Amino acid sequence: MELRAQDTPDGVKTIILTGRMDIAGTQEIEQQFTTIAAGQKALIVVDLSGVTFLASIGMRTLVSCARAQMNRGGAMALVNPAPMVNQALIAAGLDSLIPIYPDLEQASRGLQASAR
Amino acid sequence: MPWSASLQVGNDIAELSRLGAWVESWATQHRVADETAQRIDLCATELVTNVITHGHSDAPARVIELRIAEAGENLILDIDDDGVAFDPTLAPLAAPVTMDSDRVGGWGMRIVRKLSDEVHYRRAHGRNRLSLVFYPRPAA
Repeated sequence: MELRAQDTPDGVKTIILTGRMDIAGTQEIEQQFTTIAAGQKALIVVDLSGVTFLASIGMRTLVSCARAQMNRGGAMALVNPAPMVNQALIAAGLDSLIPIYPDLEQASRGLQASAR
Repeated sequence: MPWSASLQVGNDIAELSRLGAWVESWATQHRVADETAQRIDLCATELVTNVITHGHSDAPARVIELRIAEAGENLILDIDDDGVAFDPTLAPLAAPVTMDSDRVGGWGMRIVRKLSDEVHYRRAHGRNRLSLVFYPRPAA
């Protein structure tokens, strides 16, 4: 898997994940992802549009970091999952834990509203 | 003529990385819809992960065998292992995770039950066999 992080002018940090988020893929990005997503209070958008497969092991990483970020007073959102990844997120019930938005702009607005 | 394909994996987390390539090979060869192939890929990954991570430590499964077979319009995925008897269809689903608790996980069987259309278990000849049936679903 690959991970890229970008800071946006509106104060939201975007993490772009690409690849197959199975056990091997998750292990490849987990440490870097956790540091960026949960290391300090922030508004985090995780762009899932390049993730081709998401297993429960990857969901574990997403939820752990979202929870850690919430405990720091920040927030995390997921954006633009491919149809099958979205289906897996809903099947597991993650859509009730982490908000999922169709695009970066709506995710950014949603996070900023929740942080007020 | 109905087709089938099989794969043997060892009881090792590193073996999970072979599942995706296996699914892709038969899905391409037999023109299985992407949506169906991806559901099978995810269910197989979750179930093989369960066998590897939840198997009995005194008598772990040595080999896990997967077989996919065409059955009319449906596809049937069988997953066999030689570990201790365990019927995951009888195990209660874990309570939903909340953001207030410390718990994460317990999503594997929830995903399998939602993304497959039938789940059957039987124990025969000292082996567990889980059979999942996938019906064709209209494209989203």
